[in-house]
Amino acid sequence: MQVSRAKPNGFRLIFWVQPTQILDSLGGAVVRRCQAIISILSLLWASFTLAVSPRSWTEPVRGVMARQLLFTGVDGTWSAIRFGAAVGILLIVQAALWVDAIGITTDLIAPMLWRAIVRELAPLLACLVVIGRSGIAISTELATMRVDGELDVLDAQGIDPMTSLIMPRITSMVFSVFCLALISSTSMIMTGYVCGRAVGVIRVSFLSFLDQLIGQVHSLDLLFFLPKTIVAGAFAAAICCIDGLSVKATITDVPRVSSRAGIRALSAVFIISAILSILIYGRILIFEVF
Amino acid sequence: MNRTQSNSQDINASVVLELQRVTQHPNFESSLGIRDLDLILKSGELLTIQVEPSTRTRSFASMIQGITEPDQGKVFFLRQEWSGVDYHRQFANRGLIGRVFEGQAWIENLNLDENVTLACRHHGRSKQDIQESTQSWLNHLGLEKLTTRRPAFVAPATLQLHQWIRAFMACPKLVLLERPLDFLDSSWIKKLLDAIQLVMQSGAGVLWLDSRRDLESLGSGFSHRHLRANAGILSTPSILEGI
Repeated sequence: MQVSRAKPNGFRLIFWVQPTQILDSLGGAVVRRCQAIISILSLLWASFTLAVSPRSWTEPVRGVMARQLLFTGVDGTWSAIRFGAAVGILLIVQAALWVDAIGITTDLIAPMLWRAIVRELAPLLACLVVIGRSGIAISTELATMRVDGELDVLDAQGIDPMTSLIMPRITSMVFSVFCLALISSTSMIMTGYVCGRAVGVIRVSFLSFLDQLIGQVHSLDLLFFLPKTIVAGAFAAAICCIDGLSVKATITDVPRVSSRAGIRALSAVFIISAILSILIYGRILIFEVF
Repeated sequence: MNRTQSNSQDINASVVLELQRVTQHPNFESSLGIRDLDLILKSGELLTIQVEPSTRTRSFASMIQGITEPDQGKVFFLRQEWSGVDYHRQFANRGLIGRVFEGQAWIENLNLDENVTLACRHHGRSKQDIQESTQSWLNHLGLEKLTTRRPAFVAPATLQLHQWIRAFMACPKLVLLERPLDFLDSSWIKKLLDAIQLVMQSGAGVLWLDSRRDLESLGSGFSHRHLRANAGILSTPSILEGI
């Protein structure tokens, strides 16, 4: 009897229960993703509306903003320069390989460097620096403040935590990503030139090289640079803040939440970077999509 | 308290805080629970609420400030229901409430000076006004100046005194005192009562939650009512008993 009962159960499991469960879990995952994106967009919109309102910028909020800019932007400058220099060397080494292989000249290296740096690498690198230096720190700080009841202390004194904690942090992260992307791209170009000159890939003077680079400037570059720094930076900042505030009332959750925030912010930056590239170029690899 | 005197004050005084049929189930086993509580606190009035030593008052005070909503009933501050006003007004109204917190009371990455003046600076009071107000309360308490160290490096008694200054210097309409004499010896009682007298004269209502046995007698010099929570629950019958 047990065997004869087991057969229809197994049958149902394969043809009914499993597909339902799979659909259920897939649907649940999609709904959760949508909810996460909506909450990020809501937080960004709320931060934007607060940031453009002059009455939000009280003296303590300006202080938080200044401290965050100092920590994220100014203190992150050397990291951006170092990473930019390293990537500049990597790029020029690759260029040297191509010079040897197919005999291309500086005329072709300059645009390649310019496009790779300004359109793709510099915004990505700046986001990495800001997430590594500040995103995880912000997430940890907010999580600890929530666990310790410090948000209630602010709230009880009539200080909106959204205005005094979240908005200045998101604004300063966005601003820092933009500035650090400029700094790291400059670092990449300079190091690329010096290294290229040293290994004999670039044979023109610095001014000629700069002239060639400036000749490559295109309106599309701005179209890449602005959204890739601002949108990606804003998403990374919002994710770090949301994850930090999502902590439950135990201090042991804080490290887990912080590391998750870092990974999620990095994932978001890469995904947004890819999506923006697709949207702006209108193609995926060699396939036209628009 | 003289009943006739109290009645004449009642007519003139404005209602600062009103709770209508409020019920709040305790968040934690030790939190103060509220059952069908009707309560009115007027300006210039002191209301003391006696709780057990093990009872936490933080969630009750947060509910009064509109940070959390009660399970049932309505909470009015200055005749405005918390849930009936927009967020901006809610925060502005909370700026009119001075509070001595039970437990965590500080932003740990700011020093005590910054912490104490934070709300006043945020709500747009001038530097000079803040300085004068701070100095006045420092003089009143016999302290030299605000500590510029972070809260983690300051003794609990000093922290508690800084909490007093923060609560009283905000020109409050309502003062919430959660165990304000914790960590302090009895020599500070008189100074606290004097401070309460001062803020009440300037029109504030004061709600003092404590587990001290002498709480009722401490408030006897003021326009004062006393309530007692039974088994961690505060309800309207206990108010009647108090009156």
